[in-house]
Amino acid sequence: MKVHVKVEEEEGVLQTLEYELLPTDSINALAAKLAADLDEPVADILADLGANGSVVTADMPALDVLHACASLRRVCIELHFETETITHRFSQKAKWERVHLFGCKKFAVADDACANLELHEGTIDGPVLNEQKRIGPANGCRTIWLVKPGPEPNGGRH
Amino acid sequence: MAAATNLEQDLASSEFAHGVHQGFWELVEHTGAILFIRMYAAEGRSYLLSLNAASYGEEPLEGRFVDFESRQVVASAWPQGNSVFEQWVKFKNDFFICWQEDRAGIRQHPEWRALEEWKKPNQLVSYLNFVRRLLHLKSRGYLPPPTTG
Repeated sequence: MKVHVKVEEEEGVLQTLEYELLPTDSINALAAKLAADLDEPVADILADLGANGSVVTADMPALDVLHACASLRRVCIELHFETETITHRFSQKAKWERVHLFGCKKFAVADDACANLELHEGTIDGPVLNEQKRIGPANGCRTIWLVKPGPEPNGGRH
Repeated sequence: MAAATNLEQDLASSEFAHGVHQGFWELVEHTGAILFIRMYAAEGRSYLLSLNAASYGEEPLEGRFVDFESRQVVASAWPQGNSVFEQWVKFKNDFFICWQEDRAGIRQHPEWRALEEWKKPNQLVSYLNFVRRLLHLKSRGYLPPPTTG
């Protein structure tokens, strides 16, 4: 059976992906295909495919969860780090933490340096975002900066 | 009088409101020069920060973590961390915050006073952002307490 998955933003449908599924195909198998096509983690796709607040587990038959169609809600993020910029669409249900980790990977930031960065909205000096919160919907593309905060002097050991 | 007005202005600022909206902090109580602010760590646990804002603007704030019920400085009220974290947050014996914008930190390091680092456009939010980073940036060494159950 053919399943159509719409990838949508607030402004409309970005693309429609089509997959041929057997009744025995699990939702995890479909999520893996979507993850590869959209360059996203499988866990994010599974969270998106949960319908009406119900929990989707990886071994559920895909056709039981989706019926004939599904939609993935996306939000455009234009991510800046120093002199570099990348634009990517994330799940509206993803946490900002996902954007942070994506940026570190794409901009080749070492793990210890990555742990010292924070997300700012709009400009390099803009308000800081709580990375445990979900991104949510937005019209247009949100400008986000991955920023290293300044050093915090301390007295060392006492 | 001017100090109290400046503190009220900074509490009413968009920068303070942003921190509340983002779930970084919330004002629990404000009595005279003493503020009690709930600070949220990355994993969801919260700590009650007591701030002495006497002579706000002219003098640095003094921050200490206190018990939510008794409002006393007790060990269990303090966030803990590794040796990096401990350079700022003295949670083992003395219970103070060792930082250039904190009054107790400056008592320990009198050479910091001349720098007047606490004289920021929004002194309160500058302090709260410092604590927010301690509790949210992995590099600052905060260690969440083990979960029970």
